[in-house]
Amino acid sequence: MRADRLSLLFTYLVSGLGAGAALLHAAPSFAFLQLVFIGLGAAWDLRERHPISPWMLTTATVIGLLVAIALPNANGPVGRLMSAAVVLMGGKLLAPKANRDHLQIMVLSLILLVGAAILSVNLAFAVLFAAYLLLTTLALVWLPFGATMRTRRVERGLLLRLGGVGLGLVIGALPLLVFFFAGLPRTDVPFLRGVAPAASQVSGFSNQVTLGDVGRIAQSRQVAFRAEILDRKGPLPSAPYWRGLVLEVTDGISWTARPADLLGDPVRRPGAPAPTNTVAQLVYLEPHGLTDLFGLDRPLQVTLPSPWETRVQDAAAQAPRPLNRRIRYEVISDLDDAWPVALPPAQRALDLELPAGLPPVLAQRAQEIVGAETNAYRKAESILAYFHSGEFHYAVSGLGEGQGHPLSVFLEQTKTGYCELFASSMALMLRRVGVPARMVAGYLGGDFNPTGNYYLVRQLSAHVWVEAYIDGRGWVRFDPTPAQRGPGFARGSRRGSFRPLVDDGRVALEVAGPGLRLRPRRADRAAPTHGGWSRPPDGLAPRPLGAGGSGCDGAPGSGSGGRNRHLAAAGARKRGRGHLCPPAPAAPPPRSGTQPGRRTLRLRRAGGSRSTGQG
Amino acid sequence: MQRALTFRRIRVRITASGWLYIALTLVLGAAAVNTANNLLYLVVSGLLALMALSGVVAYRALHSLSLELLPPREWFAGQETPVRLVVHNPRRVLPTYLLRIAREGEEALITEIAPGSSAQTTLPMTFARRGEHDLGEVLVTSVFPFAFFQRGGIVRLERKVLVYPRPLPVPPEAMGPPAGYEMGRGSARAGVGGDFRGTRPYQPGDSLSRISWKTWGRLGQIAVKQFEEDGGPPLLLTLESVPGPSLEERVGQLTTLVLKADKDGRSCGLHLPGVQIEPALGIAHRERQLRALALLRT
Repeated sequence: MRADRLSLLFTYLVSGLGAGAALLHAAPSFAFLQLVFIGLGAAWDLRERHPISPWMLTTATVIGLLVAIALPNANGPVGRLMSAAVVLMGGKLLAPKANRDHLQIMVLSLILLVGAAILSVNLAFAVLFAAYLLLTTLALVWLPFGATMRTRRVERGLLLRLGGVGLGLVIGALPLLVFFFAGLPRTDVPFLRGVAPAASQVSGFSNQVTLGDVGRIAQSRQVAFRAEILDRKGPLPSAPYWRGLVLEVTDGISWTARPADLLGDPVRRPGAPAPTNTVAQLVYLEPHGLTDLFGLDRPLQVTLPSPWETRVQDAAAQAPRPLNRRIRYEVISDLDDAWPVALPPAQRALDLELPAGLPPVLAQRAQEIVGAETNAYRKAESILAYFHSGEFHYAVSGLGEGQGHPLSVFLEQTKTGYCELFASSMALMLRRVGVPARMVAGYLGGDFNPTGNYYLVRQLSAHVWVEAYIDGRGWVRFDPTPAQRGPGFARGSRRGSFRPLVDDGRVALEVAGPGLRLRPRRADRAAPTHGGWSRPPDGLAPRPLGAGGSGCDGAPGSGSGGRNRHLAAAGARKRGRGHLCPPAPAAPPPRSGTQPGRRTLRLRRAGGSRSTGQG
Repeated sequence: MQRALTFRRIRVRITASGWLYIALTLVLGAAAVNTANNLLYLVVSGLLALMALSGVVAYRALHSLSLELLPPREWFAGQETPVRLVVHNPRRVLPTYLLRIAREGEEALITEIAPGSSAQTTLPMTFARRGEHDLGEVLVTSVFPFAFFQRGGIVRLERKVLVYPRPLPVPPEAMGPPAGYEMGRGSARAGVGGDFRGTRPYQPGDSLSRISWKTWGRLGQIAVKQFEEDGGPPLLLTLESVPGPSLEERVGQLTTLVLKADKDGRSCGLHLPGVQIEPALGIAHRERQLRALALLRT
């Protein structure tokens, strides 16, 4: 083979990897354009005739570059950079190539690979990168020879020897690669924001999702988070509920979180037993663009990486700003059935409020089911039994477009729906029969990974359920959605399957990495915040607080039922902040069509376009 | 005369591609820290690992090499002369590739030196003036394994060479009558016209036509035939034998005459200030004369 042809072969192989990266990122137009450039360039190089004159090519490249930069790109600056790299590479591929052109093409290919890595965190990238590392090393070893030997034929023995050198370099580089990978500095706080696009909003946990999205969500295998179960081995005895957001305000169609400062956090009922069934988890949350943090139902305390503070309200934690990067935090949850908190009269009124315009069938059915029963818990159980009787079915597609209120369509006509319809119906029925009720949004189930002792929870596991307030017991969870959920729900461990091991590798590579501690340091774990509790739950507090709250402006005193953010001071003090009142969390930026701080779940309006976002 | 030269200190020069590589690594490193993206960390680690490893490999590839210089037997001033360079690679495993040896704008390239072997190339060198010269230094570099960094260093050759005077044209009148016309001899032929005197061992530079094949066949030794008054009567050259005008020009012209006499097989001697070389023949004699001319001072 001629020396210069071999250089070209390497260059085209490496640029092919760039096309692979574009494909990986699901940008077929990029990949197609790239493949056209590769095909044309290779044909012209083989014929050693390049029909486009250099000035024409330069002009076309400059114009293409301007277009690539100017065109709106859903992937932000990184997407623009990738478009620009494709155009530049086209300019290089279609021209005769000097040695530096080969190098530039390899750099552009790497930029495409890196762009793909930033935009879509994917294990396939590691395979592409391994191929890139090998090919580029061989190419880099070869290129100076190609430049020296030009059109001379390459002796086969020299090629084999150089191939051996290249392979040796790659193998020799691996331990160094591991060393650098482990040793490079890492930070939880980026120094430059806005370069990477906001995380994809394919989340089952969303404010408003159209009907078409429900199917997409229900089928989306995108990872929502991974939760490593600390302190105990093996899967939990039943499918875990992952709590995210409490929805209490409804107009019959949509459900919204109560405004943050409308009522304080619930106060633990005097004399209630301390939580006995607590589980610590380490959650690796994929970016979802919202502020919600998830934990096993019900999180008692959530510890974000310093310097972030979290706020737990109604046992649902919020980050101070939208999460556009992967984040790791620790949660301690109470798995007890009931949450023994008091229900102040104002909140009781809120959780009993029935919106105007509800279909009459709701009240009729509620009355039929409950009958003369007076016990709140048995009322709730009978409504639950109604939905679990087999009359109702779970489905996310093929629901049709009935006429009228979505709940009346659900209860009277289709009797088929997804979790919002079940949960919304039950919550409103409970309110109708005088039991305070609300909805909780989160996830249900997940794949338990026995080797890593963690749950992998995908978007298709998004779920809503009902919490009813039973006097004397507190908030109790009821899930009216029938058990025959779609795939991905409540799956336990799959021993013998290869997938957990693959995900282990993915965790090691993408999620944790040696730079991120898999488990937080003891000191971190001993300095949790206690949002949501007027005092730290017994046995959980690292130390008793002294005259808690003294000097905290705006924070009511201990046990007052206020937000009690001062309790986060334990963590703040541990980090040497020197004051007991952490700053109020920043409000998330307004999202189009939604109120900041108010999260909404909308039911499908008959004939309308809005639908729920949860399964 | 040949001695091995070993590298002492190895320096690194970053090429344009190398700067690109470093800039790329820095930018990606910043992006990795900023995005906390482990895949980016993987890329940056790969780039750093290759950079570090290439440094080690390049250092090892250059470190134990030795350079041997084989200057030509005759070296005339003003003439580009190829100097043979032999590079030895004593290592058992690691080959050396793309070794460049440069000196005063001239460059020689050795593509590959296998482990435990040697490779050679020639580097053209030119000296403008006759006399003894120091070969000075050569720059020995390699871009192996990647063309991002050029590693190598200056190697002092520590070698002196004698450069003979540049042969300068001699006016015809100074050349004297052609051999064969002198002392009333009738033959017009120069060269092998005299009576056979015997044989002597072959020396490099002897004409093939004088090799005595019979001797070779009988004794297995290569010998050349010698003749009486080979090429004409002895020629005795002094500074006054040539027109000049300057000393350097006279030396150059005398060099031409010495070379011509040798070529013609005519014994030639030199009487120069401080130098008395009686007429004789042979390659050693020729070298003695050229050496005397090269070192002549007045």
